[in-house]
Amino acid sequence: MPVALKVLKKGGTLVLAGIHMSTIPAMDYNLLYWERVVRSVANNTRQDGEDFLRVAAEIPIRTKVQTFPLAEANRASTRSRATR
Amino acid sequence: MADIPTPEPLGDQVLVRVKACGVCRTDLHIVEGELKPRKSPLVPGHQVVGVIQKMGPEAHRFPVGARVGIAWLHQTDGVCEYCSAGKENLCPQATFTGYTVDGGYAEYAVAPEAFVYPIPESFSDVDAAPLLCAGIIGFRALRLSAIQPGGRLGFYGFGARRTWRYRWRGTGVLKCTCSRVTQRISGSRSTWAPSRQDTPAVNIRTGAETARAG
Repeated sequence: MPVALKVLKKGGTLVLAGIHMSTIPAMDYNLLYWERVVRSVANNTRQDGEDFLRVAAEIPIRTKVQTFPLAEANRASTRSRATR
Repeated sequence: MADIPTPEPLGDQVLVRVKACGVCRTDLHIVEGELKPRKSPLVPGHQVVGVIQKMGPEAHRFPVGARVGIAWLHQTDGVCEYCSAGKENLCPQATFTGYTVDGGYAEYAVAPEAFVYPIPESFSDVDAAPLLCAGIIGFRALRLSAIQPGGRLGFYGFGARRTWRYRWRGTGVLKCTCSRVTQRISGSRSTWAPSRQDTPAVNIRTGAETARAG
């Protein structure tokens, strides 16, 4: 978070979109001063989902996926972990 | 892997035959115990795409065979102060797919009909799956950033969103990652891979961070 705040303009917003995060390190108040805003994202509303899927089709967003059989779900998770 | 009974759709629930389910970082947080266990045993997975196979007696929104998606928000109470204020994402009684209720790493899943999404025809099953969390949550983060046309947006630790090419209302985009692997996957153009001490050549108006490191 300090890395992101370091380059955030005055009045800018930093959005934290993860459900789990390690402890935020102590940091200089100057990183937050000048009305910078830090806020988290908790879940989503159905309106978010409906709006996004409409926009995703309009743009259109193209996803790149790697598929695994259901029986290899653990391997898929391991693969995901390896690309952290 | 385990054989478990096919869930029965109750009330306004629909039974979905799963065609694809995305793997999300949150699934790892759940199975590795970084998030407090809420159900055990549990079927993980909250980016579920499938077709409705059966409906509960009070479900009438979709026909059998309709293609739908089940996302993280499984259900809310609909009456609390948050739900009443349009903030159902904060509902204290909310249930979550693949966390407090069984999810989509399975052949079948159930969800209330009001909480499933029609999937646009232009997306295949597997292409649609990652939209249901990486996409929706990323979209909400973008909204909360209040980015304006001409603004510059920075991304940090963008996980499943890493391969996306963001363009939103004329905003400039700077993708930031400490991971050389992620940098390679996401493409070097406009990607900045710093050490913690580095600063980029430009300042950003808003930042969206999904990094796990505080």
